[in-house]
This record gives sequence, C-alpha cells and structure tokens, in this order.
Amino acid sequence: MPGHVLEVENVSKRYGGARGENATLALDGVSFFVDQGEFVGIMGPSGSGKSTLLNCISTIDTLTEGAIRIAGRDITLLRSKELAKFRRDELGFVFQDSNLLDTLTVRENIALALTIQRASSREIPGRVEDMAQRLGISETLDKYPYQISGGQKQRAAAARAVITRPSLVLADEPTGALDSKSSGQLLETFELLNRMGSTIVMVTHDAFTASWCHRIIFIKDGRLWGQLRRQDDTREQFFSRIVAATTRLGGEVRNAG
Amino acid sequence: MLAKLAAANVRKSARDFAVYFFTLVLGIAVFYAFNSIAGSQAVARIGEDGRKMMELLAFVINIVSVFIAVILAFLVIYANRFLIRRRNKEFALYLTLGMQKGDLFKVSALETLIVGVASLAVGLAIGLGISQILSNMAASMFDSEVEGVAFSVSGNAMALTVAAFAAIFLVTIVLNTGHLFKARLIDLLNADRRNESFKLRSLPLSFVLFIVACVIIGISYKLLMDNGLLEPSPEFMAATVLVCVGTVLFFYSVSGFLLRITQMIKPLYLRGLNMFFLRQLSARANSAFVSMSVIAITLFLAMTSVCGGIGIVNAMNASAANGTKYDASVVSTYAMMNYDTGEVEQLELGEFGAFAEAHDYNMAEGLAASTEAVGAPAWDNMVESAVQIDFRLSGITLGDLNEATGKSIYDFVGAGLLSDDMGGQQLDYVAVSQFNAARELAGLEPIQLGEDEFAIWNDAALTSDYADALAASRAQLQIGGRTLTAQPEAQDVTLETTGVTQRICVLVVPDDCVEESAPLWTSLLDVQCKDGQEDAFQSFLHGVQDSADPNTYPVSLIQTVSEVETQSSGFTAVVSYLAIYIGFVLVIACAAILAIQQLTDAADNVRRYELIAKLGAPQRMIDGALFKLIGIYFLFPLLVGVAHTLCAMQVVIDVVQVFGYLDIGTVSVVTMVAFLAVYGVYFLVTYLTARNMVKFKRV
Repeated sequence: MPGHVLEVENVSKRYGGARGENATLALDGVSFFVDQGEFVGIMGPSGSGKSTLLNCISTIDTLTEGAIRIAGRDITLLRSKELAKFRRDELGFVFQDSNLLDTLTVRENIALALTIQRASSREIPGRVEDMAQRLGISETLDKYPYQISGGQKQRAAAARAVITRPSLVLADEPTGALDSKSSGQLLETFELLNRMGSTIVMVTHDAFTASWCHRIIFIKDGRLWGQLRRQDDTREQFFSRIVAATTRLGGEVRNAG
Repeated sequence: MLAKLAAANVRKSARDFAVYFFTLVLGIAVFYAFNSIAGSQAVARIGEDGRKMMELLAFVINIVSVFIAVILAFLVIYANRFLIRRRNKEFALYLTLGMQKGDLFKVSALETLIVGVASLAVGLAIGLGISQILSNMAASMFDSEVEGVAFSVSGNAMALTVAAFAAIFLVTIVLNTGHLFKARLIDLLNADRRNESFKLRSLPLSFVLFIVACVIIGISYKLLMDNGLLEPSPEFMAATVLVCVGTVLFFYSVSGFLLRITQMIKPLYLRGLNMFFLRQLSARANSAFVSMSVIAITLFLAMTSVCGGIGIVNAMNASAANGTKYDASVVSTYAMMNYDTGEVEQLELGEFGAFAEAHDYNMAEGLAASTEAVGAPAWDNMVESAVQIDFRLSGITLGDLNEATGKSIYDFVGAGLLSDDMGGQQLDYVAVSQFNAARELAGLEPIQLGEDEFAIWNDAALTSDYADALAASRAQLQIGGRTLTAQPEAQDVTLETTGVTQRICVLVVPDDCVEESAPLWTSLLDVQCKDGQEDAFQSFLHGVQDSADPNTYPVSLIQTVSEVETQSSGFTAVVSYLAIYIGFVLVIACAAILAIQQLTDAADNVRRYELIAKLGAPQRMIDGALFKLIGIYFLFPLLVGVAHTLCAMQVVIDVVQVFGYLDIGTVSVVTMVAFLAVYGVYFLVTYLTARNMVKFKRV
C-alpha cells in the first residue's frame, strides 16, 4: 500500500517577531496528507496562505511551527546544503510563467534538470527525447522558448519538472498565464503525468483548472477550511461542486494573479 | 533627514559600491602619487642636472594627467551609471511616497559626496604611501648616495587631485540629476522588468569565424615580425588593421566557438551548469564583444608600452654603464659619407679646419693648444692621459662583405631597422695600436693581432649577431694591399664615453696596413682626467665647442661620465614613470569596465540564477558557473592582450637594440605583476559582489 508522499502536520507560519503582538499568522495549524499517485489542488482566496503553504512545502520558505515530511523526510530538519539536494532529487516545479531559460533550447531546458543532478551524460539525451515524445513536444525540442507558444512552454516546464522522477511535483498557478485551450492541453498533460505515476500538488484559484484534480483542499485565513473529493464525478459535476464551495468560502475569491 | 537617508543608503549598498569605491581609490592614489613626485623631499636632494630632468618629468606628467583625468572621469561616470540603474526601483519608491524630485537630487548628490569624500580620504592616504616609494626610487636613480627615506606631502599635487576629482564628482552629480529628472515614475518602477532580447547567432558560423579570426591574427603577427616597427610601411599598417579586425572577430565568435566545441563533447556539455554558463556567455557576446576587444587592445598597449619603454631605458643604462670607462670622450668629424653617391664629402670647417690641419689632426695637441683661447687651465693640469683613435674609410663596403662571406646584414638585423641601400656603405678601419692603447687606458688587456689578421670591432647591439657571424666565417679581405683574415672572435668592447653604443663592424688592422691616403673622416679622443679635474675639463670642452675663436680645435661631440649618467637616469625616470603611470590607469580602466559590465549582467540575470537554485542546483555549483563566466570575461581579453604583447615584443626587441641590449628588467616584471594583481583584485571583487547578488535567499 502506497504511503503518504507528503505529510503536512500542524504547520504554522508567523511573520513579524517570534511572539510579538504585531505578529501575523499566515498559516495556523494546517495539517493534511497527500498519498502517492494523488493529484491534489489547493484553493483559497488571495491572502489565504496558499502560496505561503506551497513555498513552505517547496523548502523555499521556513515554518514557524510544525513539520512537513516529504517521502518520509522532515524538511524542517534539513540543513541549507541538503535542501538544494532535496529539491533537486525529490521535487519538481512548474511555475505560473514557465520560467524556461530563454538562452537555452527546449531540449537543453529539460536536460538542465538532469545535468544539475549530475545524471550520466549517456542517458540524458534518451530520457529527454522520451519524455518530450510522451508530452507531445518533440518537434519543439530544438527551438528556443521565444519561438514556441505559452502552452508549449508550460508543457516543456512540466517535462522539466518530472524528468528527474521526483517524489512530488509542485505547480503554482500553472494555467495562470494561459488561454483556455492551452490550459486544457496542459491539464491533460498533468493528468497524463499523474497516470504515469507522478504525485502532483497544484495551487490554483481557478475552478476550471481545479476540476482536473482528484481532491481539493480549501484554505481560508491560514486555516484548513475543508476539502472536496472528486470520487466518481465527471469533471463537469466536480467543477460545479468546486464553484459552489468557493462561493460558500465567502465569495471573496478575487481574480488575483 | 536627507543626509541620514543618504548615509544609510551608502551603508546599505556598500557591496554594490565596492567596485565604484575601489576604482575611485585607485584612481585618486595613482593620480596623486605621480603628480607629487617632483615636489617631494627625496627629489629635492637630487643634484642640479638631475633636478632638470625631474622638472621635465613633472611637466610631462602634468600634461599626461589631463588625459588621465579624462579617462578617469569617463570611468567614474560609467561606474556611477551602473549604481544608479541598480537603484531605479528605490528612487521610484521615494517618489511614490511623495518625496519631491528636488529632494531626490539632494539625496543622490549627498550620496555622491559621501562616497567622494571617503574615497578621496582613503585614496590620498594610499597615494601618499605610493608617492614616497616612487619619489625615493626616483632619487636613488639619480644619486645612489641619498641616505634614508624622505617623507613628504605635496600640497600642490594634493590640491590638483582634489580639484580634478571634485570636478569629476560634480559632473557625476549633474549627470545623475539629469537621469532622475528625465526618468518617469513608471519607467523607474518597471526598470528591472525590462526584457532583454537575445539575438542568437548561428553556431557553425561562429565556429568558422573563430578560425578565420585566428588566421587573421596569425597573418598580422607574421606581417609585423617580417616588417618590423620603425618604418611606417604599408605592411605595418596592414598588420595593425588586421590585428584589430582579428581581435574583434575573435571576441565576436569565441563564445559561439566554445559553445559549439563543448556541445560536441557530450559528457562535458551535459555536466552540471556547463550548458547554462556557455549559453549565457554566448547570449551576452553580442553586447560584450566590442568592449572585450577594446579591452584586449588596451591591455596590449599598456603592457607593450611598459615593457618596451622600460626595455629601452634599461638598454640605454646598460650601454651607459659600458660607456663610462673614460672620464670623457671627444669626437671631431672632418668628413661625412654621402650615402646617395657613396662619395666622401669634406665638411666646411673653415679656420677651425686649418687649425686642425696645423696640428696634424692630433686632437690632444690641438685641444692643449686651445686652452688659452677659452681661458681654461693648462691641458697637463687637467688631463692624466689621452688616447686617440682615427677612423678611416676602408673602401670596403657592406656589399663587398656580403660577397666575400655570403652573409647579408639584412638577415641579422630586425626588419625595418636598416635602410634598403646599406650595401654601398663603407666600413671604417682603425690601427690596432690605437685600439690597444684605448683598451689599456680603460684598464683592459691589449688584443693580439697576427700579421695577416684583422679583428671585427662592433659594440652596437643591433649588429652584434652580424659581427659574430662575420668573424666566425673567417672573412678574407684586401686591406692595404694585403689579404687579411678575420679573427674568429668579434670585439664587442665600447671604447668611448657614450650613452648609446654605435660602432658598427669597424675593422681593426695591423698598423702597417693603414694607408695615409685612406680618408680620415673622424677621430675619437678618450681622456682620463687628473683627480678632481673632471668638472674643469668638462667646462673646458664645452668652451671649445662653443668658441668662435679660430685658435680652437673643431669639436663635434663631447660626452663626459657625469653627463652620460645624468642623461640616462633622467631618461630612465621619465620613460619608466610615464609608462607605468599610463599603463596603470589603462589597466584600472579596463578592469573596472569589465567589472561593471559583469555586475550589470549579474543584476540582470538574478532571476535566472534564482530559477536554477529552485531547480535544486547547490550553491557551490551556481558559484562555480558564475566564477567560470566572469573568469572567461576577465581572462580572455588578458590572454589575447598578452599574446599580442608577446608578438609585438619580438619586434620591440629589434627596436630596443638600436639603444643597446634588451633587458626587460625587474622594473617591468614588478610592474606587470602589479598590473596583474590589480586586475586580479578587480576580478575577485567582481566575483564576490556578483555572487552576493545572485545568491539564492530563502524568502
């Protein structure tokens, strides 16, 4: 039986002074698990703490209290040198703007994740080709980022995120800068990666994007507000439930970038 | 309040200011040090002749300083622009908060003022130190007996430095104000969101261009070595143009070439961040190649002028050391060779010529008879002993020698240093008895010359290889009706007091081969004075030379030991100090421009480095890529500059031989090491500052 890939346990994040009166609680005792092979969405209004949560999970930000375990390791105990190695081997990132390096070709952008890992140079070209083929971006491999569409860029970024076979793929508003057609293609790609075995945690404020997930975790004012499971719903049905939930959440979901 | 803000700003961005501050301090220190030499205590102890040289030095340095100040001004303004650009966002914030533009100007001006005053203080302090070293060095060049070290502060130089840099800071403040005045809030806010567009070049083209660049540089080296420096020939022009074109092309294509080569070696290319930093390098090449080329050429000029300049003075000093065996040497010239016709033409010496003839061209006798006319002490009171060498034309030309030995002088002397029609030039010959007498007067053993032998006497560095080859070939010549064979060893002794050794392949022959009919065109008189009479003798000689009295001997050249020594050390000081001064400022300028460019790049690339850190590249890997990137930017212009210098020095050696034997010497080695050290420090400061800029900070 697959274990928890991600365990978030009673996580709090406080800004401004250790116990000062002016301190702001960005996260307040958040706990949840993500199992291997899950595709989980995190939703919440602007300022709800979802980005802070993702930053904490991605080891870019530190916690004030609690623990985050990824693949069984408590990342709050890692030293900064180990953190880089941890991100390299265990995490894959997809950002809102694809963040491909514009001086490198798509092929090189994807390979970069492997060269940083110091993977054997003999196996790198094959792995890149293989992944590109599966994600349908083979013909863009020798182009530079400025020569391809936004959707293609995001799929290339997804390929870069999963090529190192990380335990967990973190996506931060990946469809934020895409039109609806490209969004659909990217989410199909995510679905494909998920079926291939990747565990994905995606932050979004968009119900359509979220409807691709298996489970949605809602956050409000730094606290867990509730969650929805897709179960046997069609995507359309799940979408309606998500919209209903976000409306209930306070109708405060703004279209913040 | 504004002052507090300005001070806080400077403290906060101390790291960004590092390169700017470092450049200012170095500029100020060097500027003060060189301008202060003439006014220093140490130099004031130098004797009168030397002081004239120092006045000349001070004069030249003052003029050069104007030019240097302009370079430094450009540099400071350039560096300052980098700082301002970095802080656009900060200024935008002040404006958004409602600060008036006028207040912003004040803050910016105050910051410039704070940095300016601090750098002036530190720069002048360091400059004082350097100044002491330079002036005491100068003093010891003229007079080895200066005891101890004199410390002094030159008010003039201090005022000059402060004035020059105050002007520079003023210009900076005005330009900053202009920048802030023109800037619109929206542009300031979005300053760091500016998208750089990369124009990517075809890699195979870069590859070919790089090879073409190397070939062009190679051709220019060959042209330069074959044709030399002295004559402004079309080949020299072509070499100059080609080396520039080649250098520019080299930097245009080198990054693409490196990228292409590495791509072919997969294990290297697909390793760590190699891919990333090579792509970074080639993406920046478009904007960087011009400045890298200019820097390579500037470094080349700086190094060549220092090595060449110091080489020349060292060669002259060596000649001078060689040429101080006698207290004085006097030359009288009666005829000149007309190279066009190959004829000997008597000089119009008028009554002086008659006086010389009356004394049978015996210089000692003639000069002794001249003492009364110029009111000098009697000859015997001044002179211990004197030896005369008569130079007669042998009738044998260089062309004849070439025929007899199969050796051409053109094969031994650097290209461009001889005129093309030397073949008709006649060699001098002298009697071995006179030659040996001069040797004995200098305390040297006489040479042994057989009945059928002659010796080749050559003390000019330029032709020493040729003389050795002639001697070794045992050339046979018809002199005075006899066939004489060359002694296998050439004589390279200098038998006169002179700053420049210049006897070229004089034939030393047995006395009975010297024909009275052979034209005597010049005579040399070597003199050892009685103790303490050197000065009196020197003024006597100058009296004779300047005298219009027909009862004086015709004298064309006088050289005394003290004159030769003062000249050579004065010349050493002027040339070395200028070369080092200019060279140093050029090196600082090059390094500072490189540093600022790299820091600008690093600032523009912060997001890229951040992404790589997020992808999990360890800090050490990122630092390594940055080190390589900045290292290449600093190293390549230096390597190309050094390669150009090495090639040029091959030719410069030939030029220096005109003055004597080349000895690049410790001074230029020390200077080069100092240059490299400054360059290296710039590299380190740049790397550390850039590393700090791109360092991944956890939120």
